[in-house]
Amino acid sequence: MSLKKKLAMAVVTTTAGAAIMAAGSFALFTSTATNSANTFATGTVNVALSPTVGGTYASSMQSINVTGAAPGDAATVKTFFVKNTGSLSEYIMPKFVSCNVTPGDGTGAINLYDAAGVLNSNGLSSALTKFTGFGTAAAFEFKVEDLTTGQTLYDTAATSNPLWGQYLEVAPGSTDEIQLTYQLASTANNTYQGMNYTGSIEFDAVQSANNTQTVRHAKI
Amino acid sequence: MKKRLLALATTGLMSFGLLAGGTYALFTSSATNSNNTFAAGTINLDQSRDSGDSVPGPMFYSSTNPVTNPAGLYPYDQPAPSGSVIGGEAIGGWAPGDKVTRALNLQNTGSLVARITKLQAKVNSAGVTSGAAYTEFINDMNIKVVYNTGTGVVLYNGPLSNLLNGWVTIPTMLAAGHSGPLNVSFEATLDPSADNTVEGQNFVFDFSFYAEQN
Repeated sequence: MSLKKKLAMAVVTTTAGAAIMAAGSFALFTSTATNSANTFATGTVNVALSPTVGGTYASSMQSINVTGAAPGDAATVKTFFVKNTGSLSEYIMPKFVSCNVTPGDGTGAINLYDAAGVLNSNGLSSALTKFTGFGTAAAFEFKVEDLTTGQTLYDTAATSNPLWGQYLEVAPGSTDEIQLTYQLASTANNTYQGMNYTGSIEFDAVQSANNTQTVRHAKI
Repeated sequence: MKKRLLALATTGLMSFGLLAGGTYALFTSSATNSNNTFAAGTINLDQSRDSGDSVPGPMFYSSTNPVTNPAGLYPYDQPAPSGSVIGGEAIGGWAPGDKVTRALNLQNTGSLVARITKLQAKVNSAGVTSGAAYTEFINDMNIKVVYNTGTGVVLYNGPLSNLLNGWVTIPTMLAAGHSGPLNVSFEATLDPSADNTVEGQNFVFDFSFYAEQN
């Protein structure tokens, strides 16, 4: 090849090379690897009540309605079942909500617990004034018991109720049998004439996993 | 003498004639170097989950599914074998505060050295792909990816949501051609602040690594 031809070739090659570099894009070999279909299924926390263990579990509120009672009547007993209808183990806490007691003298309803379950201290004082021995075994007593664990959760006649406001731990699908008892004793006086007590017990549930709640009692 | 001169002249004329004509043949030869093969090298990134069996499948799965978990290892409803790096528990399904660690092995089955430089996640249509529950879940699910083999360097530690917007650059892992497994763990934590919005849902994602030639 003549020198002239070699020089000409060199120029062409260099130009071509410069053109390729100037274009800027180039492809390297690449590869990707994928781990597919990773599933994260979240659990559920649910609590519901049923009158019978095999019945339909709905609603988490059990109503209380005491009316037309006469002193010495047999205690009214209401039993129902609270069930963990979710997939996760949970702590269940019962509380009184929207409770009112209305005397028969037309002075109007006295609120004892609000819709959030907070005790109305003024209302309680009023009730204790209006009704002689309100909450005592000698007049009007109200009890909530967990028959499954054999524990009394709440008793108006008790001096303290350490288990009330505590958590019951319930596994998914498990039930606790709850019993409400209210009785107007034969020694209840006329202040109880026409008394009407209404309200509900609500059961709240929270997951037990990763839960740092320390105030609870476990299911036996 | 005259004849000799004439012969010389003729020869000279002939030679001159030959030169003036312009075409001539030189001795030539050619040599060929044939069958030159340019075999391109390859990189090929493979993954397989590190689940104690050789069954392919997702790292995270929701039950003792016989397809994804035939040996019954590391189901969600049982604690991991003691001393196991992977596994975990989420009894009854994921709950806020749960943490589960799983792992996969990456391999470069090609011939060239590969640089593994990027990671991403994509939502899989087998689960919920939008809405309030989805948005809260991807923001409350933290993913920590660690390169266990040799260095233990953290490749990514942040919300799942940040992996869903295309490739995220990670500290480079080098994988020689035909190299052994690079073990990478994925630690998933659902933040305790997650609430009932994400309850009872199925979320499914694909996780991908990207490699290029070194």
